[in-house]
Amino acid sequence: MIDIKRAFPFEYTRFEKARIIGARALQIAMGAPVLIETDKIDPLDIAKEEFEKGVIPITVKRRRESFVWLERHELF
Amino acid sequence: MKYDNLLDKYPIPKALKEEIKEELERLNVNKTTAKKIIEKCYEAYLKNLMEPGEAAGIIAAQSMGEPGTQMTMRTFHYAGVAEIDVTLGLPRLIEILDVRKNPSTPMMTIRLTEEYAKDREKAREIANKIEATYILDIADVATDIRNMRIIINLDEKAMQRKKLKVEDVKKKIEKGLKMEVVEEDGKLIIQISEPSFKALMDTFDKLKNIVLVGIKEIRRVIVRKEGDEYVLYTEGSSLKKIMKIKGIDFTRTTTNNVYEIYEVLGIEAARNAIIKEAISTLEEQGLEVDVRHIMLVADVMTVDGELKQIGRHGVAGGKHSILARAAFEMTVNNLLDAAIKGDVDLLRGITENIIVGQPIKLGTGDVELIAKLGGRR
Repeated sequence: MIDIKRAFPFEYTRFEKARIIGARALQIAMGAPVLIETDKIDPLDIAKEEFEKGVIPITVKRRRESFVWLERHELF
Repeated sequence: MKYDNLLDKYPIPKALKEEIKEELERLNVNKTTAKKIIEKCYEAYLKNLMEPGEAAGIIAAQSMGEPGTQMTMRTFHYAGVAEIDVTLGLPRLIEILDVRKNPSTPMMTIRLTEEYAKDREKAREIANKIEATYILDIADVATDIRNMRIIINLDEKAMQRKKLKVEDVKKKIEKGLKMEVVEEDGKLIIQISEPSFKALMDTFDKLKNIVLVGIKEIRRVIVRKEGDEYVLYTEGSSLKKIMKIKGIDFTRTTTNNVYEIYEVLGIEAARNAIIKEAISTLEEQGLEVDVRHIMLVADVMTVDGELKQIGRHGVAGGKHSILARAAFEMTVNNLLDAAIKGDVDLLRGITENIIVGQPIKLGTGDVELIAKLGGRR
């Protein structure tokens, strides 16, 4: 059985996905070598395709067992 | 039974488990099918969880705010349960969130213990015991200016209905006024020693305000049959005093005054009361808001162990940041005050960081990227 606290969320959240693709698109736009064979020209499209294929050399660091605990004063 | 150990392994809420179990029992499927169903349910459950980084508070605010715009703005007093006026709609919602100590229409629902609940007479008896009775309810009061005295003509029928004796009334008045009361052929006479008209009128006013029986706050009691038991509805509320009365089942007795619940029953009860009152107010207006939004609001109001109101400035005393406060109202005053005091803004919240121009810790801004070393998979 999976430990839900450790494992959730199992995939990238939509925020993480946006962030990874965004960061990668910026790299490509600034001249980084593209890691896949593609006909696409727009760096964002290339980054999306790379993400789909799972070749982007970027991942996220999840703090405190993947749950974000905010302090109370940070809520307002 | 057989589905219990199957379900046990999954970290899903109890209520959901019960629901799945019920459905499985209805279908009466075998173990492998059941396992598949549960697996599917679990998947759906995970998909419905909120993602880390989601702005739960803002969604809750919008989910309550939008239906709020459709609520009736004016206070409509509505002859609701048992002809008791209850504030409804937006004013009531504001009242709940503001945690008013004295809501405009306090109301109680009193349920009785088994012995009293089934019998109309006994229920009536309790109703009489808690309803505040004043002298004007049971007697005609006249002032005799020539002889400087007040004459109370007791109404026997009313006395009997309230189960009051002349002796009791006399004692109550003597205690309340700290004056001597003389009984004269069924009438009570209060002689004013001072020969002044003002003293007479003052005593008269005081006399009118003496509570002879019952609880001062309970202005009216209505007995209604609900199902097979009699339930009391009251105008006015005093949970503390009501709970002490014999024959009242205080585990099923409530008030619509959230602050009173907090004082008497504690913070968890207050949280539940907020949720219940807010949901029923919205529902009454035909608006459907998911409980979870309201639960979040109630949670924020009660986390500190004391009831905090939510007003125009958000949760009372919640904003530490100078910039966040300045962004809302009285910008110059706030900044000036902070400057004089030498306050420091730690830029911990959302508003401050937006003002300063930094990414905020929310959604995409909350993601920390690191390089994945090792290259291709």
